[in-house]
Amino acid sequence: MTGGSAEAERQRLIAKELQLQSSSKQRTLYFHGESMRPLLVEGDEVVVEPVEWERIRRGDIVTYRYLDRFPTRRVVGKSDAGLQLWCDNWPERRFSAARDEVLGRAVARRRGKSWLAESDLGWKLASLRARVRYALRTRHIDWPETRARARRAPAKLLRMAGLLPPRKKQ
Amino acid sequence: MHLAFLTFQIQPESSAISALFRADIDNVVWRVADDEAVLLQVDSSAYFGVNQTGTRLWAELAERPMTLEQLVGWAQAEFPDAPPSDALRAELSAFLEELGALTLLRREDDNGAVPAVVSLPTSGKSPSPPRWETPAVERFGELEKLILSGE
Repeated sequence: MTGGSAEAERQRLIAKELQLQSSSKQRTLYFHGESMRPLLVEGDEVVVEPVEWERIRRGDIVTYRYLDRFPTRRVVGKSDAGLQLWCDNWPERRFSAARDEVLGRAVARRRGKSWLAESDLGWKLASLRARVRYALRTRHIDWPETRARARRAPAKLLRMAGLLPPRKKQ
Repeated sequence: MHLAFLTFQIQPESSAISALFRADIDNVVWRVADDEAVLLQVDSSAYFGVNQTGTRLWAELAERPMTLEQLVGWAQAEFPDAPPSDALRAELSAFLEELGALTLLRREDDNGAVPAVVSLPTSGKSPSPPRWETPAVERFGELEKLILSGE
């Protein structure tokens, strides 16, 4: 079972991935660094859930495998080959992750005693802000899509504030 | 858990012989890589390695509860080169005991109910039948809280 240090390291890495994928509010993961400030800061506790590739959307925060580390960054683009990512606090840098490297999506954060979940307004606004910043920075703006989103925005804001019932999933 | 396995050792002729064992899948997550499983005990963050034969046994025990005798029958069907019954029973018993001592296995109540096993896998599913080796599990260590790297 143990064929040397490389094998032991591989087994340890698998165990870490299992640990990541079984995270929960009772078994959180630490976030390290300032790259995702202000949503995630050093010492925040994070819950990462396994996610199907088809369900990953721009604006999501995903964790992926990179060597023996687990970078956690925001999705700014998606193609068949993989994801394009950036860090909210490092807008000048770009990252990528292949499809089979993606391990899960961050769905909640605890700072002190306070929880923030992806369904909360604060999380959604952070996602929206990041996407707008990315679009402005790259000047990659899909105007028809932007206009369509702008038309939907008032209803979406009312839904986020709980003043309208959620849309039915198709 | 330890007491349950002591009972199993001391009284092999009693009800323990028909006791049902099941992988503790409520608290253990696992993945197979190169035919060998890595197990993570979620509560303790301890992780373990299981050799090829042990991995196949573990997969069976994760699928459904089984008695020792059922495991013996399954192993005989699955591994053409498995040792004779008595030796096989002893090896499997030792493996179950080891899993129990590591709290990776649950012993389910034996209330006389018919086990849920309906069909055991038959041999010859793959072109080359697996080779028997004494099933073994090894505790590798304990993980610290995982750090998500933002750098």
